[in-house]
Amino acid sequence: VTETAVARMKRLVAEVVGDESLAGRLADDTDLINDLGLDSIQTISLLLRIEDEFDVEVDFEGLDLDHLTSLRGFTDFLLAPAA
Amino acid sequence: VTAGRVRFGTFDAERHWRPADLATLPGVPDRHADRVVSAMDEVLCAVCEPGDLLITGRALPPGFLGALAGAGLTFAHRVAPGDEAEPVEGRIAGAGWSFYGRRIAPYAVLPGTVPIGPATLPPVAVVAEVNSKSYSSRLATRLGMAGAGVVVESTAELARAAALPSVVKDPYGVAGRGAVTVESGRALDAVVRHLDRQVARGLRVELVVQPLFEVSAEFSAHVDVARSGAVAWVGVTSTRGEGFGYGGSLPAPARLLRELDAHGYREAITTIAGELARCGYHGPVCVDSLRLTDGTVVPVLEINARLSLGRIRLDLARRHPDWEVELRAHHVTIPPPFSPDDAFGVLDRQRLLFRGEGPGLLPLSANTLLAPRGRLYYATLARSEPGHRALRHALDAALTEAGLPALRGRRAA
Repeated sequence: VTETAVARMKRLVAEVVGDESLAGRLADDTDLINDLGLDSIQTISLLLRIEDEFDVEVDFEGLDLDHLTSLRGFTDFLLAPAA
Repeated sequence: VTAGRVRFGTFDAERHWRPADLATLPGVPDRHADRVVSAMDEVLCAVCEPGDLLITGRALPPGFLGALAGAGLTFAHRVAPGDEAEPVEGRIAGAGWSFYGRRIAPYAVLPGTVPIGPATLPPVAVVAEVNSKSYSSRLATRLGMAGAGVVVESTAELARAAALPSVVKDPYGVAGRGAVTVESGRALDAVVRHLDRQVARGLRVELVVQPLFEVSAEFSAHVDVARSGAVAWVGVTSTRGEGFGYGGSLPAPARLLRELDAHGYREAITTIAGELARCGYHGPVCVDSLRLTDGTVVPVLEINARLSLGRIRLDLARRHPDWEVELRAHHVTIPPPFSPDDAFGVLDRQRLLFRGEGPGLLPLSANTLLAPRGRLYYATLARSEPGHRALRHALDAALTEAGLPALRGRRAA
């Protein structure tokens, strides 16, 4: 995962939260749930934007809140090549 | 002397009305958030009067009860016996308590409510039906009201109905759950793919498709439908939305009320309530509505045939006519170990709590402050918007100082 991917992810998170200034204030280890407070609808909105932005297909059924405890970890999880 | 009401009720009512064979939209299960919602029954303290009995799912801490009493909110209280993980209705029914002569006033009528009340509640099947967004969309369509959603019953119908951008809603979705904004063909494909997998397992599709409205005002109308079918107007309250989440319930500006009068809004809501009465519903009704940027009024975004936070604000405002009342949720990170009374102690020491003499904060829930992330439902009683804002900022500062910073994606404006 390149730094650029995490930076793009921060921009998408800021869009979903509706506060574009947030992108610059997010750390790589920001917890999307316990620090930002994304709810289910915001998380799905984020995932749909990620599909468009990164040209990936997200399996919504395999999704767990544990994947969202850090922004970098979430990026790694989504963009890792299928095993 | 009339015996008071018995107040209780699961706020996550839609989950209990939702048919089990419906396919679900993409979502992230969040058991912690479910536990927080299960403590929202405490907000019913705001509508309790002396003589009422409030039954909650969890014990109310002394600091919370003290804050309520200091503001003049007194009532009898019991904790429903049994497993805290279970809905409060079944626990009350299992306790064998007698409420003879008292009026049962649940937050919502669920299957579990029926054994508690005498035969004064509307039939659960009717309540479940009229709370469905499919029902409200079909009703708004039939009555020719602006902004009515389209009900779809297959993924093929969904793909045809969903102009981009659209909002796709579960018939029993609630704030923060059960809706998806579809802005691209790819996003629509992802939703269809997710649904088709469930259809292959035997589930059925029923969803409501609405345009992604450009909204200039969110508000809700509140009425009571009597058993006779008579409709009593209660009022309009403004809603502060946070995307699809709950941001707050505020007084409706006089200008908005004048505009709504000119649009025949009250007549539209009365017609809707009359339809609910004809279906056999009686009890409180909240109709969520919008005004769009082009001036169009969408009278029926959805119908909540139950109590609601907006109605609770109106009741609180009616009982405090000298004050402007706002009701909000403050979302915080909570490091364990933590007791809700830690927060109320800080608010008390900083003299932020409402005592009836000057502006102040009235906490309306305690156990929703659950580590590692929770929320405080509260009202501000002030004389002007700067007064409310000062109280919100003081709350944020006091809780931050107490080690409970606001969730950064939900910081109060």
